[in-house]
Amino acid sequence: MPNPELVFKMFASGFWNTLWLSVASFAVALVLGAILAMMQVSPAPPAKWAAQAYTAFFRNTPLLVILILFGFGLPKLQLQLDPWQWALIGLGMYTSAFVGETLRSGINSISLGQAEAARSIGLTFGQSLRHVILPQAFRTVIPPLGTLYTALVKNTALTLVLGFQELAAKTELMINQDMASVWIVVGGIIACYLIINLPTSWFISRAEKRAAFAR
Amino acid sequence: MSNPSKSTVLFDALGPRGRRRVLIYSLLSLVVILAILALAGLQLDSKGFFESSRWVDALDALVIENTYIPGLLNTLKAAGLASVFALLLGALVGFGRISPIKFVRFIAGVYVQFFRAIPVLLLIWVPYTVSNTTGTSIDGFWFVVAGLSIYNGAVLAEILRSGINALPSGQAAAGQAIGLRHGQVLRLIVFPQAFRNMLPAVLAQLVVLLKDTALGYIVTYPELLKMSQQTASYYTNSFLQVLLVAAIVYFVIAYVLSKLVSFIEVRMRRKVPKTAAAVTAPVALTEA
Amino acid sequence: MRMHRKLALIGLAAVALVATACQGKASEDQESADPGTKAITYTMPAATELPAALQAIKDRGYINFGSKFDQPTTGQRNPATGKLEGFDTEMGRLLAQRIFGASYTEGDSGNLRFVETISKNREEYLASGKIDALAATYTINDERKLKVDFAGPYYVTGQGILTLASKTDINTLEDLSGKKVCVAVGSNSLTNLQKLNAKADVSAPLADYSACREAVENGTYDALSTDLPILFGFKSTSGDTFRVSEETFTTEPYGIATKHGDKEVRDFINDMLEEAYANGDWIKAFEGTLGKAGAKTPTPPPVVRY
Repeated sequence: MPNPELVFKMFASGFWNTLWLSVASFAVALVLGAILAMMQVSPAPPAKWAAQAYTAFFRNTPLLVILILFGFGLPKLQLQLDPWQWALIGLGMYTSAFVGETLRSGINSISLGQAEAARSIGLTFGQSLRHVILPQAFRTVIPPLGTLYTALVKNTALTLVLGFQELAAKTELMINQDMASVWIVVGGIIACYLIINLPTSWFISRAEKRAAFAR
Repeated sequence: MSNPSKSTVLFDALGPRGRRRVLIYSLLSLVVILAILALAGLQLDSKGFFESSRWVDALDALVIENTYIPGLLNTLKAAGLASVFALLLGALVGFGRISPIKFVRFIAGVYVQFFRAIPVLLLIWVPYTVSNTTGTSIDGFWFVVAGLSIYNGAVLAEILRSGINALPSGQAAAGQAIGLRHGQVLRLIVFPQAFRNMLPAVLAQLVVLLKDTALGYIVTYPELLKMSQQTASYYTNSFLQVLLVAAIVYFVIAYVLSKLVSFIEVRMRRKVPKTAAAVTAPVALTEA
Repeated sequence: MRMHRKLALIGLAAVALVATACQGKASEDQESADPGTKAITYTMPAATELPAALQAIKDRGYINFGSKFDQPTTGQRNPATGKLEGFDTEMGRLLAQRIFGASYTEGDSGNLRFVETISKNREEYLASGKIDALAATYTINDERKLKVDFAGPYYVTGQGILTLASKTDINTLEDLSGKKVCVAVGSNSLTNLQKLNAKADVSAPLADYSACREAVENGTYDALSTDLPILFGFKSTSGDTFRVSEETFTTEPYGIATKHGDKEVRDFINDMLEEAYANGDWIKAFEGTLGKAGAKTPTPPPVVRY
């Protein structure tokens, strides 16, 4: 008994959940990633080691394992959070490891000459950062960050194991309860991901071309 | 980078006062980190995390033999077969992307753009669900292999394309100048050189593929994660401990493999003259 | 770089050491094994005459029997021994003994091979021949009779509610209104709740009941609702964590399902069940599994032939 209005509502709700979760986790990932990158370039070795340990853990453990560990395992230690909160934390921390690495290579890709030149004309640390280093690092870093965001959007699908009702979870419900023909449901979910991701990749390749030109 | 007496992008070379400050910061941050760890440890202990009764079942030798190891073998089986298919598909589509025939380029381009825009999970789980509703019952294994192969084929195709494009255009031009056809240019001149550049990125992507076998959990393929979850459900007091063991196993495997890949990369860099830039890591790095 | 390699090696060595240390504990465990995991011996005699489909199975040498692998006391795989434990799996064992005789073997190359079936794929696996029969807390209903054959019922139960022991306010179907209830995707229990109490919040089902059990323990959901044997299984293996409300609001007769359209096979299995009722095997199976979880042994339900 296909009910188009209900199907549309399910898709809309799943789409919205996917979208806001991906944006929110990316924000978390950017903040954590920036902290990680700072720790990695700082001259204090313990900070570096801590950042490297964190990065190594989250880059080498599958995201699904991390989500299950966080969402089902950590609550055993009486850390009660809602599924969406665990999804946010899990996705955010996982992606932050990759963001941190990207930011770090961005900073490292700036040639030393730039910083020396800035200092030789008398700019302070803060000024050289703001006017010379970061603008260049920023341009280098945008395309990989865009790719990371795309990967994050795709990774939100995994949060269905926590019961978080994003697109994939809604799709499963629709198929199981025969709300519409399987092909419509499948077509719908594919379309939703394409709607989010194709513009992002187009934007990334434009940014890449502009960055290459600027260099 | 950590040598305080050299200039870095953000920090000037340090004099004696600077070095002393760095030492103080280092000690401070060490103390802070140890304090955090200690606090976490105490907190865990108060919730009974370290109780040996919880760990005994998680690390029981029989469980390892009858559950973890078969799970791990299933993981490796799926990863191995999927890697083979992904490499074949990747080569096919990758060469299609640089074909002189516009139509082939277009089809390959659509393949890559499409399959990189949707989650791998969908590629594994949608065919599984659809096949279930139509009444056939293919083993979860094939869905895992198919999904991983198709997705990673697209990623590897991109790596192949960047690897070939990273080669100076003079190489291909020289090949054409002496009268070789497109296919011969690829086979004799471009690919052997590009191969060296691409290899680390390809291997890194295969490690990502191995991690993605964990998605088999969703289609109940009995790989390591699913088997661990079954164990965790059986020993109701040891859920967290069992999952941690699984996480550590994945971590160790992926970590060791990626160090191996870096090692190969370093050794190859020494041999390759600096004519072509290596395919940049970010492609593999960001395929989270 | 070298520091990290050393740390990784130390980590590996530590895991290996712990594993070998536990070896000793494991062999001790095996000797004083949990009596529940010891096999139950039945007096079921082998059948002298088999219907064609089952004769083919006997000639082939093995039967593929579907079971749940992660539901305590009804069908659960023991990670240490690899064997299945539970009331439903005992039905499989009775059937195997009926076909192959008391000396049948279990395991991947034995006469009785268990295949994991989950709520979603029970009918598909039977239709495709991946399994020959199944007992997996599978309720007999007319809709399903169009797709599979049923022998039994071998047990009649109902859908109930499980909550944390501390939550004493959820006892009946009505109490579920407005509460977050965990059920398995695509399960009967989900559709039952939608029909019987639309105000219960079942908008976020999880993949299977073991995930639901964890989620309820974690407080993510207010209650778990499914058939009593599954609930009892969770309750009995979790100390004092849960309470189960025994008021059931549906009737769930469990059947052994086989491929659609073979009356001879149905009758054969029904004969086997009646034999098990008469010679005490059914009671042994019940007391060895559900009985130990706290369920009172009922009189076996009469089989319904159709």
